[in-house]
Amino acid sequence: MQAKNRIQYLLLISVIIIGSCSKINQPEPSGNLLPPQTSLTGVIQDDFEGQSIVIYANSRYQTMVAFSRIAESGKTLDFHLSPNNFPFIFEDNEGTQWDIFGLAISGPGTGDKLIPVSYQVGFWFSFSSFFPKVTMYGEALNERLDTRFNSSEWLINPDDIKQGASRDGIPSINNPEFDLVVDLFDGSDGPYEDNELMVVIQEEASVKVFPHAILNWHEIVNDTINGVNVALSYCPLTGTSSIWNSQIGSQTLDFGVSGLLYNNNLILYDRNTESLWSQIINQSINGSLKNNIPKRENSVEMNWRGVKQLHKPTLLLSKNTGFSRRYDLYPYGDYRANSNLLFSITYTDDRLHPKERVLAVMIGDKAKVYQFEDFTN
Amino acid sequence: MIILASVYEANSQTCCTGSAPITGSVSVSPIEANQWLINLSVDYNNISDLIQENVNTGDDYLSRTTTTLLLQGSYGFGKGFGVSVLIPFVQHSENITSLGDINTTRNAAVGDLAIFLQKAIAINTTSSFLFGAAIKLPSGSTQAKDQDDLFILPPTLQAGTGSTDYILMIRGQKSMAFRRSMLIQQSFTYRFNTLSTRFASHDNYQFGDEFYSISSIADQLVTGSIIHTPSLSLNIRYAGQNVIEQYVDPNSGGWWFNIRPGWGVNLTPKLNLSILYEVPMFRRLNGFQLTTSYKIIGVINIKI
Repeated sequence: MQAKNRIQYLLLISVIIIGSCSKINQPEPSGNLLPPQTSLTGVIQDDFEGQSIVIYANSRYQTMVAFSRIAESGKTLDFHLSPNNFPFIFEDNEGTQWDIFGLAISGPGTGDKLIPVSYQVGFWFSFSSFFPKVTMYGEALNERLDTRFNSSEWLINPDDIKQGASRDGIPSINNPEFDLVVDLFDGSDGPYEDNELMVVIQEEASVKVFPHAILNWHEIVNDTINGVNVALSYCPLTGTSSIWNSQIGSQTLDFGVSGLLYNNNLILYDRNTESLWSQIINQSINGSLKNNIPKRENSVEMNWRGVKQLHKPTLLLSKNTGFSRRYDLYPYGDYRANSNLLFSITYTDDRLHPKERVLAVMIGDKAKVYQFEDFTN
Repeated sequence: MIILASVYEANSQTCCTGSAPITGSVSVSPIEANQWLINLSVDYNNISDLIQENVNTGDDYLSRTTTTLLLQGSYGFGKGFGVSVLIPFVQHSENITSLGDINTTRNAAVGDLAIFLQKAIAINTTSSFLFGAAIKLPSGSTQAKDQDDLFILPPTLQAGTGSTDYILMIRGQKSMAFRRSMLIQQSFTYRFNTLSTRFASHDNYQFGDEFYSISSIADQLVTGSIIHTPSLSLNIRYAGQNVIEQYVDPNSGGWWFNIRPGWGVNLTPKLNLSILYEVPMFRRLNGFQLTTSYKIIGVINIKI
């Protein structure tokens, strides 16, 4: 009888333990988690590091772009917000209408182009850690805190590099397939939610669209855009994307995910020479190609609602990637909304929430940051 | 006593040493007064299944094996009290296939040392209980670097966890009235993991707590002077989510339901060999994880 009571007690304890362990957390759906509370659209003309630049932001479409005010034709133009609907964004002092890709679509300057400045959109902490004491729009220029590092082998301090995964543990997409999507319009159904972010590239009369939902799982796509071999990279931890021309000298490089991170930002490696490349620094940081700077190709970040407003034939990166993934699931839980980082960073700046989505214009070793809240006109 | 020991040894508790995923095999069995027990086990863990929640994606570009050599020395003080010291040697090997090339990362080192205290209580001639508590010390390496000796490997490829962890265990067994050589047993183990501050890549890293339930049945067959002990167990494992710098890793933890047939042989009263094969029946994991496809465990028990 005594033994029977003990067994009953053990069973009770086990039920309590199992019950207390039974919560299974589900990944949250993908999408942008930090949109401004109100829709903000505007144009800012600014000067930074001797360059006259113009920046457009539209929070409804979660897009921000930055161009030089000197167009390809050599004219220096004044810009204000286009009276036409998106994707028209600027009207210049001559009455020319410009679209989100920097093309003059109508007016006296039709056919002219704007030249993008070096910029990226991503989480605030990304730029504030890479560019300590980074200047924010509306502030006086800060003296840059000099943290530059250069040795014979490294362009950044290797002690600050973290290994998040093994090389190619996150598999790049090397033979991307695309689905042609036509007749998109605001309000139409589609394969993505309106607020899901995309990387968009103008390709002749169509656009190529790379959803963050797929890039979260692969980070790099080796592709061809307008006949040029490119590597599109996206870092889920810093929220930054970049498109590089893969041609370096006489070599066409094929990029993969090294598994290494610097300030939580993706470090790519090329399979040709195994050199390492920093996405945000935009340069090879180690290896035989150290110091090489890849040519940036123009791309725009916007949400799926914005893509639908482009009214162009859309080549959408296919979910048929060769890997079996639930692309509707965001693999990092609540990372985009919380204030936690996975790895330590070299400089912390608390002026904004670490995951605030901002645009950083980066010229030389200096940067200037713009928030959606700066665009109120 | 031979019967009791055989069953416990054949169903050795997977528990408590080395880095995650759990690697060692700890044999817990009643130890007679002044008796020494040496247990040597090899645990081969093939980790090749890429699981999204409960679906095997079938992707095969990534796989890992963990082979743990575990030496356990135990001593009985009498009145059911015993102590064990466990020393694991852990070898990790990870293969990643990319564009036809296979990239292999290896690490091998002594894992975390554990000290286990136990108390066995005989209820009557057919039933007994055993209670145990262990402390796992952060003695294993957490700083192993890649083959170029540049970057510290991720926690999944380290031999140690860097944390001091605590384990509680309770186990009961009963022989069947209709066949005295047939035993059923049930054990519950809970592992409380604490914060590790020894991973240079992550300033703070904490593996999720773990719970094990092992339900097993075993019998004995005698051929000549050799006693065979076939066994079958249902292993249920729960692991909480890992926390990295206050960030809860959504791709960690979950439930595993595994089945483990085994076969033990008592070559002499003081020498027992056993082998176990463990395969998953059902898994409900958090997010997307690389997890065990199968395990093979070989155990040698020597009484001195």
